[in-house]
Order: sequence, then C-alpha cells, then structure tokens
Amino acid sequence: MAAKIPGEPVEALTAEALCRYCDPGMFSFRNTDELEDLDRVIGQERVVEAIRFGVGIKSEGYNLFALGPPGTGKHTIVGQFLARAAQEEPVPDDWCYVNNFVDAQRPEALRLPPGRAAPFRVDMDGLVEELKSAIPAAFESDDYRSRRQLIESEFKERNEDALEKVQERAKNQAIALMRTPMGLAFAPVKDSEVIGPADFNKLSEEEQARIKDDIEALQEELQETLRKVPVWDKELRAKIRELNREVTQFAVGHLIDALKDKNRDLPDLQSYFEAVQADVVDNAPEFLGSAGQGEGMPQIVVPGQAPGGGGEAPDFQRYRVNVIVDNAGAEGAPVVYEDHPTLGNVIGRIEYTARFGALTTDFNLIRAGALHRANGGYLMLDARKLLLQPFAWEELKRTLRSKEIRVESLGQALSLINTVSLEPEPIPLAVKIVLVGDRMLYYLLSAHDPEFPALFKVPADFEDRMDLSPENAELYARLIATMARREALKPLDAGGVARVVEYGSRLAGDAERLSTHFRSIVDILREADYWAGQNGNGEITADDVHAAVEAKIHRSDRVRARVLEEIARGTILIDTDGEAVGQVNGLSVMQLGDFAFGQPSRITSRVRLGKGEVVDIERQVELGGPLHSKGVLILAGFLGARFASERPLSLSATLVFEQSYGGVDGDSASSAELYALLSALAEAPIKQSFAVTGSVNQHGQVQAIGGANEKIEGFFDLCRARGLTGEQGVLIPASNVKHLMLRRDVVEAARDGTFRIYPVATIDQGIALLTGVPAGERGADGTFPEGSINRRVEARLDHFAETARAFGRGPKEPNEPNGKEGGEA
Amino acid sequence: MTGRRRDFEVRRILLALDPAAGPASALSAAAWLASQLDAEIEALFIEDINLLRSAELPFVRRMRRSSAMWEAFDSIAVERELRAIAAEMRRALEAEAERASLRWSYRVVRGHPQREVSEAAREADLVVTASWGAAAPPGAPNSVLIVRDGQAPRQPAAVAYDGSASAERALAAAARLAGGEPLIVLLAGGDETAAKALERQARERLEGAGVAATYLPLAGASLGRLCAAAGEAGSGILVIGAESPLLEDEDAARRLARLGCPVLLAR
Repeated sequence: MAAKIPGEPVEALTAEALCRYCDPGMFSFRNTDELEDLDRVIGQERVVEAIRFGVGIKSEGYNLFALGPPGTGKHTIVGQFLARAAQEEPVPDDWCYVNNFVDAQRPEALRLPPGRAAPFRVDMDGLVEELKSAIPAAFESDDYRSRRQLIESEFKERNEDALEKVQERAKNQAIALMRTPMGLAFAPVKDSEVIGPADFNKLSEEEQARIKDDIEALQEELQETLRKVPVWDKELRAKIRELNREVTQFAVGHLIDALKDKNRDLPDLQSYFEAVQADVVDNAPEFLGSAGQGEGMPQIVVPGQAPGGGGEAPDFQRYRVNVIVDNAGAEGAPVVYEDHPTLGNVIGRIEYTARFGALTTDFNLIRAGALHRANGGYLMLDARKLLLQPFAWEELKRTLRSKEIRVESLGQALSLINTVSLEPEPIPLAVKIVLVGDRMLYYLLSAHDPEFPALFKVPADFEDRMDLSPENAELYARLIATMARREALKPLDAGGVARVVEYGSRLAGDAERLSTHFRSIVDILREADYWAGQNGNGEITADDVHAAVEAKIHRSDRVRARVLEEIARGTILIDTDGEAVGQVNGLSVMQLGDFAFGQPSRITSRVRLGKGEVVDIERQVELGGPLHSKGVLILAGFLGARFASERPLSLSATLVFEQSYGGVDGDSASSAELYALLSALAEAPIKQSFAVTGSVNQHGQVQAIGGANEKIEGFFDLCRARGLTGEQGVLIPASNVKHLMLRRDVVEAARDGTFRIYPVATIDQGIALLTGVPAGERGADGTFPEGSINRRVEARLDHFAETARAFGRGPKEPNEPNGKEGGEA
Repeated sequence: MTGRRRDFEVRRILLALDPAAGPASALSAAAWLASQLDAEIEALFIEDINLLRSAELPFVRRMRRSSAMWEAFDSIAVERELRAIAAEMRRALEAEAERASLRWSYRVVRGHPQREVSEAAREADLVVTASWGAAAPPGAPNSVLIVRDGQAPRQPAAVAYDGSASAERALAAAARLAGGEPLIVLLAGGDETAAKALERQARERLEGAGVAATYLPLAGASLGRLCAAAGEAGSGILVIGAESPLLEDEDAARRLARLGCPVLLAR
C-alpha cells in the first residue's frame, strides 16, 4: 500500500538558492601574495591517516593502494608523504653483482654499506690494471726463468737418459737408434754405417735372426720407455703449474692483501677477494697477453689452453663489479617512481650481447630494476600501467611474496629460449610498494585477484570533494595561492579566488562541497593567468577566471552548439511552449571528454487496453540500459499500487525517447516518463515550457539525480535561444537543490522571473505544475477529487479493466500479433 | 775457412738442417745470430743416407713418438717425407730471412750428416746445428751454435771465462751478442784470488769494447757448475771457448745438450 503522497503546490526557487556565491569579502587578504603556502593536505583526512598508517606499519603485506579519480593529486600527496617519511629512515646498503668463480652462471650478490660499492668497483678495476703489469713482470724475472729452466732441464734429462739407455744398449748390439722426423727406428750398423738390404742378406741366417731378435727386443724396450713420456710430461706440467702458481701468488698476494685490509670490516668481501686471488692464480696466462708469446717469454702450460692465453683477447670482465644499487650521497631511504613499469624496469633484467652469432651474457649485463633502487625505501607504481605490462604484475606479486628480488629474463622465465643464461643470487627485498590507480582497478583487483588483499592491505581512498565551510574556503584560498606561486602565475585578488572557489563547487556538482580535483583547479588558474595577461591585468581577477571558464567551455561545446542548432531548426523536435498530451521534455547529460552538457529530449507515452505492462521501447530495441529499464518498471509498480490495487491493471503503455539514436541509461528520466504516462492516461496536456528531471520510486517520491546543473543549463540555453517567455522552467528533485551551482546567466534569469526552477518532492506536485490541474488526494471515501489528475487516471484504468472483462478473456493482448493500437484517449 | 779473428768476425753461417732434430729451432737461432752478427746464412738440408738405408730393410719398423705405436717404415715414404720437410724448411727460411732482411742460400744434399756438415763448414765461420752429433767435432776450425728443440737464443748472453785464448774468443763472441744488455761473465778460475784476477782481465776487455757485464765466480771450474750457474742466471745463450778445458768433461755433449739455452762454442 502506497504511503500518502503530499501534493502541496510548489514555489519556484529564489535566485539565491540557485548558486552559492563565494563572497570575496569573506577573505581578509587583498591578493594571494599575502597568503602563506599550504604545507598540508586538505580534504583528504582519511587518506592522510591511511598513508601514515601504511608507511608506519612494517608488517608484511601492508603495502598501499592509493585509489581515486585522476587529478586528485594522488601522486603528489603520496610522493610528499613518502619523501618526508623516507628522510627519517636510514640510507639502505649498496648492492652489486660479482662473478661467482665456482659457477659463473650464478653471479653472487654483495651487500656493502652505502657509498662503498662504487669505490669497490674502482678498486677492482685498478687491481686488474695492476695485475696486467705485475704478473708479466713476475714471469719475466730472472728468478722465474732460472727455476723454470731447472725444472725443464730435469725432465728433459730424464727423457734423454731413458732414450740414451736404449740407444746405448742398441749400440752394444751393433744396432743404431735412428731418429726420423716422425719417430724412431732401429737398424743394424757396421762401422757406423747402417747395413743395407744387400749386405744384410749376405749375413748368415743365424746372424740375421739374431739381429732381428735383438731389434725386436729393443723395440719393446723403446715402446716401454716412450709410454712413460706422457706421464713425465704430466709431471712436468704439474711442476711448472705449481711454479706458476707460486710466482703468481707472490705477485698478486700483496695487491689482494691491500684490498682485504682496506675492506677488513666487510667479511663478504674478504671471501670474495680470496676467490679472486685463487682465480687469478689459476688463470695467470691471461695476464701475460701478447708478452706471453714474445721472444724469451716462458710458455706457461695450462691444460686445455694454448700457452699465452690462446687466440682470443683476455677477458677480465669477470673481475669487474656490476654496481646494481649505489646509494652514495643519498639522504634517507629512497623513494622511487617508475613511470614505465615493464617487467624489466620493475624487477630488473639480464641483457645479452651477440658474440660470433650467438647471444651471450654474464653478470655485468644484469640491470637493476626499480625494486633494486627502491629497496629499503618506497616504490610508487601506476597500477594501470603496471597491469598493462605483460607479466609485470605477476612478477611483482611473486617478488613481494618471496621477499627477494630474483632477476631472470622473460624468455627464460617462460622457457622460450634455451640459450645459456644466468641465475643471479636473489637480493633480499624490504620495500613498501604504493600502487596508484583509480577505484575501479582497486575493487576489481580486490574481487578477482586472491593475492591482492594479502599484499595491499592499506587502501588510501582519495576524496573527490570536500566540505565547503568557511575554514575550508580559507584553506582552499591558501592552496590556490600555493599553486599560483608554484606555477609562477600572477597572484589572484580576493575576487579571483572567490570565483575559483565557486568553480571548485561547480566541479564538485554541489553548492556545499568543493572539488579536490586539483589538476582542474591548476588548469583554470593557468588559463586565468593567460586571460589576465590578455586583459593587461597584473593580478588574476574574477573576470579573468570567468573568462577562463567560459573559454574552456567554448572550446569544448561544439557538439552542444550543434544540438541546440538542430533543435532551433526543427530537426530535433522539442517544444518550449504550448501543451501536449502524453509528451514531456526530459533532460539528459552528455559527457564528451571532460565537458558535460545537458540536452533536452522529448519523451512520449501512448496507452491502450492491455495486460498491465509498460513497454520501454528503448529497452525493446536494446538502446536502453538496465537502469533505465528499472526506472520504467518502477512506473508500472507505482501505477498498479496507486490505481489498480484491487483490480487488474489492464493497460498497455509505451514509452519512448523520441529521436534518440544512441543508448539511454540511468533512471533520471523516470519522473518525466511517469508524467507523460499520467498525462496520456488522464488525457491532460502537459505544458511544453517545462522540462523535467528526477527519478521516481514506487511511492511517487521524486529522487535526486546527477548533473542537475548541466541539465537545467541545457534547457535554459534552448529557451533563451528561442526567447525567454517567463513561463519556462525546469522541475528538479527537491533533494537536488543543494547541488545547484548554476551559471550566472541562469541565476539572473531566475532573478528576473524569466526562467524558473521548481524543486519537486512528489509526482503529484510535478503533475500539478505541468498540467495546471491538481493531482488530487484520495478522500475518506476512497476516491480522488472530481477533475483531479488522479481521478481521471483511475477512471481510465477502470475503463480498461471493464473493457477487458467485457471481452471475457482477461488481460490478453487484443490484437496480437498485428493488432492496431486500441484505447487511445 | 776464414781464419781466427780476435773480435769474432762472422760473415757466413752454415745452418745444418737435420730433419730429425728440431730444425725449426735451429732456423730461428740462425736468423737471430745472422741479425746480431750481420752475417749471411747458408742452409744445408741433409737427407741422412743411413736413414734411407734403414728404411730399405724390410723388418725395420718405426715408432711414432706421439703415440708409441709401431708403423711400417719404407724408403719411398721416408724420401717423400724428407722432400716435404726440405720444402717446408726452405719456405720457413725464406720468410724468416725476408722478415729480418737477411742474405741466404739453401741446398739439399744426401749423405752422412756429420761428413756433409764438416765439408760445408770449410766455407763457413759458424755452424748452427740442432744436433750435437752433426756438429763439427772438437778441434774443427769454426764456431758452432748448438740449438736443441724448443730453445731460442736471446739476451742476456753468458760466457765462460778462464783467461785462456779460447776464452778470449768466447768473450769477444759474447760481447757481439750482448745486444745492449749486461753480459753475464762466469769466471772459471778456481779460488777467489784467481776469480778476481779473471774478473779484472775480463772487465778490461769488455770495458774497452763498451760492454757492461755482471761477473759471477764459479765455485770450481767444471762444466757441471758452469751449466748450473748459466741456468740460474737466466742466460739466453751460453758462449764457451771451443778449446776450453771445461769441454774436456767426458759427459760434455750430454751436459750441454740438457742446458736450457743454446750453446755457442766459439773459435
């Protein structure tokens, strides 16, 4: 049962209610130069508290998500807070990657106190340069040569002795050991001359056999001897290698000791230096370079490698230090904003170089990501950009979960490439992540990413508006002053500030609020500064701000102008005078970029005998959205409850937005649709000098809608273009009055009585205004007053019900499928 | 034969190329000497008649040094190998001579290596050989540089000095090879007094020639101590007078062959 709906007559709003002007007189300053910079955040108390909490709490998963519409200063505010907090925190350690001399594919990460990494790198580069001269010098020394010669002589002697023994035995048997280019052979001799085949054949058979047997025996002996040679050679190489190691150790030792001493406070570096020393000793030939092949230079034998380092240039890259994080000169913890959050830019990457047609890499090609730079501090990322980058979001989450930065190439991670790659030692991660993004992203991630709530526990939800109190107006003025100074703009006089405050209210769409969309405020200040310059003003005045606002609208209102033009030319049918049954002017808002404007639309309704349905034509052709359909269904509920609670609602009604070729959504036209429907049922004409906005509930109460200012101005512009008659006006929900921040020309028209705004609380109030006929309240006898709109509607519905009964077949479509309309009043 | 000269004049170097004894070292050493002494090289490649003859014996096999495995050994293959090596030696000499702007000649003979070298050495001032066996024997009329496989002469040069006429020749030869670096003079003079006398004598000679030197007395005049001292001093070439009593050591050939550097027997 519907509640009683009041139908008191409605008075038009006074001009004062249409816009809450900001009085320049409320400000005590003459211009903004007199105001101090605003050093705190205004209108974002909830955000400030959230950020303080998020920054302060060190527990796992308490990363921040700054959510809010673009332009509310999320980056600026969060950045300022983080910078302030970071200043109080210690400077994090430096990090670098060095070669792992045991497994080069797994580079080692070294942590050094801040500012120590770069000197460490310089020291290591210097060490390599020193070694390039110290090691060759050691190997060129007389001492080394002598010792090497002794070793080689000893082994040569052993070889020669062994051969000579065989040779001596052969000689005693009149057999010579012949040395040929390819090898050794035995032959019988006589008088120092080898016996030729002819002479040999002249020997007795016994002699020949003896010689052959002797040679056979000698051959076996020689074979035994030669088989020992590789073993001796191995021993020789080992001895020389040991000598080389000893000499290198001596040459390198004091250099490494100096570095160890310099860094004695860093145990990790001590073991690294020891590994370097061992590697240098093992690979000393590389330091000999071309000198290693020079005349008189000893040939150093290294297994599997040609003496002197082979054909390729020596590679000393493995002794370099790849400084990943250098916090030298830093004050406090780092605050990093990564503008391009690709996987590589966030986590780090491994680069490759092409070498002889193949891709190769080493620890020097590990590149730091934003996480490395921000480690120990704060990292800000744009959520949308991050989510748009392939794999970046997943890797960031994985990294936060594991609390260590593991750099790997994307190809490796996806097993797309099988080339040799690196597995750098992960670096422990202690960072606070701040994601910045719009609310929708936050809610989507919360709903659909199960890991998100565990990793980003602190939402910092930015307000897009704040209360317009006198105190806040003062703060707003200081903010304006701060912005003007930061942007190097002219100062604003009090009038100019007041006008910007009004602009802030208009942006908020509420006379009692101010917009916190500070990017728009800065923009209007810049533009006002331009117009002040154009107007020759030394200060930005109210007129300059007004000019900026008007110019801004003018730059964007081409479509609005075209729509008005087509209405004026009669292409789009909108009446602004006269009366019509079942026809009302609705208002919609069109948003194009950052410019919104109101557009009148003709809404019509036709009724006939039917089965109790209100047909939303927009919905039938799929031009209407769900909210619009909901609004239309509410109308049926209202009609049924008020007029047909005890009999069938034998009505079929159609509703349509005339000349609408795009989609329609929202329920702000539902009151207008109900007025058209009531008009059609009651056959009461509606004054076309009115336009209507507002949604309606099943009890007939008119509810607030958005864009009230734009809608009123849209109809006002049309009426003004056709000439204001004094009869024209707009019906708005009473609850929208506080949102009114109308243009000055609208306010002036209202003041002059040429245009009126009516705050309507109920459908009865509205229909009475639109038709000039009272809606009527149900009396004690259960009937509406004679002649009232409601009486006429009820009578019409009764008639439909009786007719349907007379047909004797209940509420069924009378003319299906091609039945023509029936029951038109 | 060009006769003896106190200041060690060498105009012609005979390079005896024995294909079985590391000829590449000998070739490089000859080129080095020719550059130092401004001499020309006459290369003699000897196809050892005994080697060819042994290859004709059907039961003789050859053992490869690199693998210690036996293989067939026939004269046709040996001749082919010798021809290939001779051609290769010629190319190497040509390249070396061109690099150092040396005058050179090259010929191939077949015969007994020692005899062929002795014959050819009559027209040379110095013989470079890789084989002690192929060198002119003690008492031959010219100087000999013995280079073993893997050796290369270089500065600093060391010289054995005992004050004898032969040692004077050696000192003169070493002075020519000093190449601006201090010479190492190994004083083989018995006791300390004798060593000091030898040092004074040698110093007088060398200072007169403008050659700096380091003097190291040997603890006992033996070839063994000389070789050890030369090795310890890091000598790049050891010069000994060809008639030095030190070479009377019955194991001289073996000791010198095992020295880490080439040995020049100066006459």
